[in-house]
Amino acid sequence: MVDVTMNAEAANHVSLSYWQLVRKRFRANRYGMAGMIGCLIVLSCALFSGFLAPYGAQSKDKAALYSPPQTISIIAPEGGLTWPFVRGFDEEMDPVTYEFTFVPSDEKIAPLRLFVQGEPYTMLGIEFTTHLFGGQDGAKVHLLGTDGLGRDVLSRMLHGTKVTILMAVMVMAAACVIGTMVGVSSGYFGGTYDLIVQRGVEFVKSFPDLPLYLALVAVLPRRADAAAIFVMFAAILVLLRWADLARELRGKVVAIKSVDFVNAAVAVGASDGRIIRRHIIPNMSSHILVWATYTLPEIILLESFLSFLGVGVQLPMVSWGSMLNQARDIQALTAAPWLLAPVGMIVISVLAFNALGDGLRDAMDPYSND
Amino acid sequence: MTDTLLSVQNVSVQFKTATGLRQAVKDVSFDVAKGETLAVVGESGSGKSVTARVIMGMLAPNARVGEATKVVFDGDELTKFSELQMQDLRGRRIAMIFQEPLTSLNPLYRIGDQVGEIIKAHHKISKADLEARVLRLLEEVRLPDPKARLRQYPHELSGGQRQRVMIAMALANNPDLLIADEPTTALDVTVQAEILALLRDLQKSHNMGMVLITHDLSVVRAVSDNVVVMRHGEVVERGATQTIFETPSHAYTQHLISSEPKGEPSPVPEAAPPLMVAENARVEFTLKQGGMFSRATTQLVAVNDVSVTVRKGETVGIVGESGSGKTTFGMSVIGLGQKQNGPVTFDGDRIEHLDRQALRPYRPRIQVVFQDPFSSLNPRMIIRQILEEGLIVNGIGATASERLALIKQALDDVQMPHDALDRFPHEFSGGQRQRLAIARAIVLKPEFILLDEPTSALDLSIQAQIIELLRDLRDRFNLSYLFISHDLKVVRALCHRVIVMKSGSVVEEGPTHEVLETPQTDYTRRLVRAAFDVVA
Amino acid sequence: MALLLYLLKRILVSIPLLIGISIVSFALVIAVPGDFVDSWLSQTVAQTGLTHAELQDQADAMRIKLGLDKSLAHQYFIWLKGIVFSGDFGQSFVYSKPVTEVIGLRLPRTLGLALVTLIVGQLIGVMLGIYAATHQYKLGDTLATLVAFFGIVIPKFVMSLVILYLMAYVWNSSYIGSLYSPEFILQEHFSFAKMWDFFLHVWPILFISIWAGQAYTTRMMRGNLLDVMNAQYIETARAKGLSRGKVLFRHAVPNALHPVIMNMGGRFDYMVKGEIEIAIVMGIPTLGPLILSSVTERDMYVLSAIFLLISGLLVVGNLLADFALALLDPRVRRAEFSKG
Repeated sequence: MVDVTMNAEAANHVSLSYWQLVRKRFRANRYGMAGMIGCLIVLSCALFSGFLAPYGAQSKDKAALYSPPQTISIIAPEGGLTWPFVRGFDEEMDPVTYEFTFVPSDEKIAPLRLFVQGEPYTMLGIEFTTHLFGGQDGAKVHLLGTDGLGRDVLSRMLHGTKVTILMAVMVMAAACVIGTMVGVSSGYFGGTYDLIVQRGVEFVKSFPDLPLYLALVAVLPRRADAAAIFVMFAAILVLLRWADLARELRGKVVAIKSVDFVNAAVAVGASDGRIIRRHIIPNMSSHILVWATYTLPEIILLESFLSFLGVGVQLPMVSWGSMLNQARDIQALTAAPWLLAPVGMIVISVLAFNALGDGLRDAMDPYSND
Repeated sequence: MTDTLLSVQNVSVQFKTATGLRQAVKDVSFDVAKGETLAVVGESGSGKSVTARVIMGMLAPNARVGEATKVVFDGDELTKFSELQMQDLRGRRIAMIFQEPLTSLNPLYRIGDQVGEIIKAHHKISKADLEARVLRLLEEVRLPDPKARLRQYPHELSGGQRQRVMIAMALANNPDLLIADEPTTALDVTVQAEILALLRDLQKSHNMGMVLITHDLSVVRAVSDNVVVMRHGEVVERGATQTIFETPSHAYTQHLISSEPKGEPSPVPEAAPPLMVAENARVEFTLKQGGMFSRATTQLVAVNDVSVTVRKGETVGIVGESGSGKTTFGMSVIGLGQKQNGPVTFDGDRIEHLDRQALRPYRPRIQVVFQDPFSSLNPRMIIRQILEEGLIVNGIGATASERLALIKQALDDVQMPHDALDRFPHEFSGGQRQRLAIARAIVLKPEFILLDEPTSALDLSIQAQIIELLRDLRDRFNLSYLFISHDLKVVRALCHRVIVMKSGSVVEEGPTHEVLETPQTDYTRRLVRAAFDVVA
Repeated sequence: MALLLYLLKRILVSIPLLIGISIVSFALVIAVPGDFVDSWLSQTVAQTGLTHAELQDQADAMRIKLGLDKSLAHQYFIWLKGIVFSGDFGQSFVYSKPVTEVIGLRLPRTLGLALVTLIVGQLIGVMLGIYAATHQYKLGDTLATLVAFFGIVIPKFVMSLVILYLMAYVWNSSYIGSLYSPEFILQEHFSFAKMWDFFLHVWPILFISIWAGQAYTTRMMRGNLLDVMNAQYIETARAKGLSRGKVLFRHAVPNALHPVIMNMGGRFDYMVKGEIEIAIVMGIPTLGPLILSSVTERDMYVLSAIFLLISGLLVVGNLLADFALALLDPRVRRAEFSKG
C-alpha cells in the first residue's frame, strides 16, 4: 500500500451527491425555506381550489353586492366563548348620505361549519360537493367580502390561483424546453448553426416586451373562446421568454465543452448524444432550475398586469389580475377596498418564488468551502 | 550577516468557518536578518502563505490571531500596530509580491499609473519627478522598452513582464524587507530563471531582507541562505540551506527531498515495433486580422511540421514552455481538439483522416490523462459511473458485474480503495483524483496513453507517487506513453526520448540523457540550465 | 482609432436589427383583418347613413390613392419611405389625425422620465450595493438587501394602485391624472413653480420607478463587489499601503461597476417598460395609456409607430451603452478588435 501519511492532502469521509449537498445548504437558509413553504401553499391553493373555496367562481349572492368582509368571532353577543361564527348583514340606509351600507347584525348569526356540502366542483374529472368550510344551513359566508355582482372574493381568488399558476407553469415549461434545446444545441454544435441562432436570439431579445405583448394581444382575434385565448396568450408570453434561457445556456455549454471531463468522454468514444445527456445537461440543471423559479413570478406579474388591463384572461376564466380589473374603477374601489385582496396573493406568491429562487441559487454552489 | 530585521515569534492563526475553528498556523517562529534570503518551504495546506500575511497584517476578516503571536520588525512590534500605522509600513518598508502575475495588476489602469501609485501613497512628489522615478524603476527591473510600457495596460504585457512590473512596484520605495509569495510558480521555467536572477541582484543592490515562499526545492537550493520547512501549519525544521539539503533531520523534510523526481527509465528492447507514428503534423488557426472591413487573415501556426515515433513500451517526452504547441500537438495526434494535416499511423493503420465514428474502435487502445485533476472528472457522477463509461460505450463487459470486476481491478492497479466507487470526485484530493483519472484510462486496457502534464498541478510528494505509479503501470502492461511536460526533471525520470518544442517547431530531439546532458541548440541549453540550475 | 472602428462595427450590426424591427412593426399593421379603408368605411357608414355599396367607388379610389391595393412588400416600402423621408407614420383611425400628432409629446415625456429614473435609480443602486457589500452580514447589509428585494418583487402596477387610492381618497390630492395643474398648462415659459408643480404630479412615477430600478442594480453591485474584493489585485493594492477607502473606491468599485454599466442598456429597457406600466394605471398622459387604448381600439398605425419608435430607440440606447463601456474599459476595445 502507498504510504499516504506523509501527504499534504486528506480526503473527507461523508459521501453526498451534488443534490444532497444542495439540499443540505438549502435547509440552512431560512429565507429559502420560507419561500418554499410559501410556494407549496400557493400550489395547494391551485390544486385544491374547489375544496378550499366555499363557492364557485361565478356564483352570485344577489343579496350581498359589495358586502364587506365578515370577521370570524368567537365571542357571542351575549358574552362568553362560543363556536366560531360570522355575522350576517342588514342593509341600512345612511340617513346623511342616503347610501346603502352594510351593518353587521347580531341577529343573523351564522356559525361556521367544516366540511359542508356545497356547489359541485370537479377535481381530476371526479365530481365532489364537499367544501372545507361554509355557513351553517347554507348561510352565506364571505370572509373577504363580495364584488359588484355578489361573487365571493375569497372563492374567486382561490379559483384564480389555478388559472394564474397554470399559465405560469405552462409558459415556463414551454420556454424551458425550447430554450434548453436551442441553447444547448447551438452551444455544443457551433458553426454556422450557432451563428444563426445567436443572431436570432439577439433579434428576439431586442424587442421591448411589454409593448410587444400589448401589440400581439391587439392582433388576437376578438371573438375566440376563453380557452383558445388563454392558449394564445400563453404562446405570446413564451415567444420572448425562451431567448434569455437559450443565451445563458449557450454560454455555459461553450464553457463546459472545453472542460477536460467532456474531452475525456470523447476520448473513450462517447457519442454526442451521450455526452449531451450525461455530461452537459446534468451540469446545467441547477442553472435551469434557478431560471425556472425566477421566471414563474415574472410570468405571474405579467399575466396579472395584462389581465388587470382587461386584455389578458377573459371571462368566464378568472385570474388575480382580472379580478383587479374591477378595481380600476376608482369609485368602486372606494366603495369596496377589499377588491384589492388579490394583491395579497400576487405579492405572496411572487415573494415566495423569488425567495425560493434566491435560496436555491445560494445553495447551488456546494463545492465552495464555507 | 547584520542584526535581525524581522523576528516572527509564536505565530498562531485560526480561521472561523461555518463548521467551527480551523487551525491554519500553529506556533511558528523564525528570524530574518538584513540582506538574508529566507525560504519558507511547504506543500499546500502548510500555512506558509498565511504566515506571510500575518507579517503584513493582511489576513482575511475571519482570521483569529493567537495571543502569543508577536511580529517584531526593526525593533517595532507590528502586532501592536494600528491599521493606519500598518498602512504606512506597507509598500514603504515592507513590500510583497504575489504568485499570479496575470491577476495581480488592476486591469483598468495603466502600468505607469499603478507603479506611480505606490510612490505617491508614501511621498509627496511632483508629476515630473514621479514619471522619471517610475521610468528608472522599470529600467531597473530590465523591462524591455520601458518608455512605451508606461502607457500600456496590464493585458498588453506577458506574465513575465507583469511580474517585473510587480517587482518594480515593490521596490519603488526602497523597502527593507521583501516578501515574495511563490513569485515564479506561474511562470515558464526560463522566465523563472531570469526573474530569480533579477531578484537576487536587486536584493544585493538594495541590501534587503527577503522572505521567499515556495514549494519548489530547486528554487530554495539555488537562491536561499536559510530554510524553514512547514507542514500542516507548523515548523518541522529550520537551518542553513546547505545543511538542510545535505543532512535533513526531520522525517518530513527527508520525505520531501526524496520526492524529487529521480531515476531513469529502463531501456526499451531494440526490436520493439513503432506503435504511434505522427509525421509532419501541422495545426493552424485562422485568425481574422484588422478591423471589420479587411478580409485579411493571419494563420497562426501552432504546430509546424512536428514528427514523433513512439515504439511499444517506450515513453517519449515532449518538452516546451507555454505557447510551444506541445499540448495542441499531442491532442491532435490522438484525435482530440484540432485536426492536423500530417499522417498518423497507429499500429499500422492510418487514423488521421477518420471521423469520430470510424475512430471509435481505436479509442479503447488510445487513451489520455489530463493535467487538471479538478476538471477532468464530472462532478455530478460517482466514480463507478466515471470509470464505467468507457466500458459501456465500447461494449466491454457484457453484464454490470463483469464491468464491476474490471473497474475494481483498475482501482487496485492505481492503488485506490474499492469504497471510492460510490463517492464523488469532490471528496478526493488532487493526487487521488489523478489516480482515478489514470484508472479511467487503464480500465480499457489501452496500448498507448497521452499524458498531458499529469503532475504539474500536484504537490511534490504526490508527484513522486504518481510518477512511481506510471512507471509501475508501464512496466506491467508494456504501455507506450507520449508524455507532455514543461518539467525537465520529471521528463528525465520517465522518458526514453525527448522532443523539445518552441513556438510550434521542433528545436531538438533525441535520447533523453543525450539531450539533457549535451544539448545541441541554444534554446535547449537555456532550458536545461533553467531547469537544473534554476537561476540564470 | 480602435474606438472608432469598434463603434462603426456595432452600428453596422444594429442596422439589420432595425430593419427586422421595422418589418415586425409593419406586420402588426397588416395582421389585423381589415385595413384603413375598411375602418373609414364603417365610420362613414355610421356617420352618414350611406350604405357600403354607395361608398364603394370612393373606397376603391381611396385604396388606390393610399396604395393599399399593392402587394404587401410594396406597401411596406411605401410605409417605410414615409417614415424615413417625411416622418409620416400614417393616420390614426381613432383620432382622425396624423399619428405623429397623436403621439406628440408623449414619447419624449416617457423617454425623459425613464432616463431620469434610470440615472437616479442606478446611482442609488450602486451606492446601496457598495454599502451592503462593505457591511456584509451586518444590519446595514440586511436592510439594503431587503429594500432591493422588495423593489424587485412588488409589482409596479400594484404599487401604483395603492398610491392612486391613497392620493384620491386618503390625502385628497388633486394632482392626479395629468402632468400639470390647470394654471400651469398654458404657461409656456419655464419657472420653478411650474417645475415643482410637474414634480407634484409625477412623483409617484419617479418613486415607484426608482425603487424598482435600483433593486436589480443593488444586488448585482453587491455581488460583484464581494467577488472583486477577493481578487488578487486588491491584495496588491493593500500591500502598497493604500488606505481602505482608496482600495475600495479606486480599485474595487471601478472593476465591480463594469458589469453594471454593461447592463445599463437592459436597464433602460426596463425603465421604459416600467414607466409605461405605471402611467397606464395612474392615467398620466405619456405613452402608456396611448398604447393601451390603441390596443383595445385596434388603432394599428399608432400602435406600430409606437412599437417601431420604442424598439428603435432601445437599440440606439444599447449602442450608446456599449460605446460608453468601450470608453471606460480598454480591454473591450482591444478584444473586439483583435478577435475580429
